[in-house]
Amino acid sequence: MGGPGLAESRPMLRRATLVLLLLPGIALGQTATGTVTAQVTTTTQAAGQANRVECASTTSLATWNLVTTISPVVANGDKWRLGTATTTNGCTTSGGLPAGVYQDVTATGATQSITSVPVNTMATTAGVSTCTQANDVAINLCVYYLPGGSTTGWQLAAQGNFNFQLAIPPKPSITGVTPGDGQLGVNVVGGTVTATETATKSVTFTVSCAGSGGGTVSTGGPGNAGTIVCSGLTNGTAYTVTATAQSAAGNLGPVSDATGPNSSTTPLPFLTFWDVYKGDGGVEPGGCSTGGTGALAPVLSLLGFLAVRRRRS
Amino acid sequence: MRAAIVALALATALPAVAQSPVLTVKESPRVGSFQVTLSPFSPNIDSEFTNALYPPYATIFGTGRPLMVQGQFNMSAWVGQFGTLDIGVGAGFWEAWGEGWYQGTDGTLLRGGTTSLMIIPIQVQAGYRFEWFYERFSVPLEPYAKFALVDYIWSTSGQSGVSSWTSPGGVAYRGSGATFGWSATLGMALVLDFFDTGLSRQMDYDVGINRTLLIVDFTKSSVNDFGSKNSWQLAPSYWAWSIGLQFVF
Repeated sequence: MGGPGLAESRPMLRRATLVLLLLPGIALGQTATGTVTAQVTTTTQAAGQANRVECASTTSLATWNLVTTISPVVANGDKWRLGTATTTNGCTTSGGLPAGVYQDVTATGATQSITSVPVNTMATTAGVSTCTQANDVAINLCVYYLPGGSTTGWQLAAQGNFNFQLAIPPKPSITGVTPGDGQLGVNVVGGTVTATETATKSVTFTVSCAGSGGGTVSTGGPGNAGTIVCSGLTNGTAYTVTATAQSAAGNLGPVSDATGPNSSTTPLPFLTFWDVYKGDGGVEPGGCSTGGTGALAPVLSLLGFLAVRRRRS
Repeated sequence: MRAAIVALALATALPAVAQSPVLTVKESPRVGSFQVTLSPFSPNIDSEFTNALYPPYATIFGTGRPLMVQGQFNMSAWVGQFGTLDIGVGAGFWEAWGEGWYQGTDGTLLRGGTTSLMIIPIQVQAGYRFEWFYERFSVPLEPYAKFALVDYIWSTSGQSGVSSWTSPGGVAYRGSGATFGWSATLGMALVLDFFDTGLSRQMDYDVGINRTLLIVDFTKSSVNDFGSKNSWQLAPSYWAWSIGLQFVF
């Protein structure tokens, strides 16, 4: 058999592979071990998710926190490209370099924080068709390493997950209102899921109490289903009470049917036991006892002290 | 043969003694006691409103008697042949919850909402426990008597913390304060050690508790700042019974 055999060609293959490994960027399709997380900077909600408003907004921004095993060299002009992908396809590891969601960023280290990433672009590049769809959409965050800024010799440096929380909760119901002293206790229950209102996990409720004569609207909550209190109200004024549910990411559902204004939505002065006692002419004025009996306090203390002292002696 | 029997008896008796060293130890000296009691309690606030159709306390809190829990700590001032004179301090807690009133826009009153009256009784007391029956005849009963000076720290509240009432003249009265008085108690203690002397001695040996008593007593009291015309009556109108445990150490 003429020509070099497979066994003879292996040393050469090993050397070529070693060179490829030592020169990152030349080995197309390689994946480094790393993670990236994103925090939407315009809200205080939990990291790793965005709501409907943030998804649709062209001004909503996120910060990406990148950790990778690749150590870029600033002097070489190494860069990161930020991209997104559907969870079905995942981040691209070979072939053409995907488009970025933001301008390529100069890589300054294996750990890097990248700010001002537009959230809406993150959604559109990951194939989120509309920010008002009924169900949540999970996407992948992808960070590509561009050695020397090259768009040909690149590799996937880190990946992570992000959730567009787009579902809204169903319309809640008000099952009762209890008047209090300058407040209303509103009993709220969650609504029934529909085709377009699907959020049920970690849903909270707020209630709104609007005076019949206009003026400031008081709100109560957010809280779990049950009694939510509207406080700071004016006794004797009838209020119109509504409730709204919101998802964990802050997507508001439809407003409930209104209750009131009527007698049950009218806060009333509350008479405590003390009010009733004094109103009936009770003589006790409150406070510490008056007259000579107030001197009993030190006498009691002295007796206790003497009892202990006697035992010690 | 006789020597063998004695030797056998000693051999069997010695391990028993070794296993029960407590039985050979004398009772530790008694220096004091502490106790915990429960008592149904209802203040006689409505004594001011004898002719009222709706006296305030009964109207708000009803006629029930919520439990008052109290603890006392005493030091033995004198241990004599017939009994022990104790001097000590005590504190407790009691609270009643009731339904208040809402005042409608047309002046009508509607029941609803929650209001409460809370009392923290503190006291200094002197008492004598007659132990002669148990010490002399092993009859497990110890009658006792106590007298106490008490201070009831109280507070009323509604939906917005401590209550406050403003008179038509504009004077505000805060619904909290302290009221002094006295109490006298007669009771009977059942000496539980009588039923298991071995366990009793073991308890003394382990933790220094000489005696455990089941106590039942009746207390007559007056808590109205010693008859002040500007004070309500926070003591019950009746002899209040209580039950509890007392530990002598």
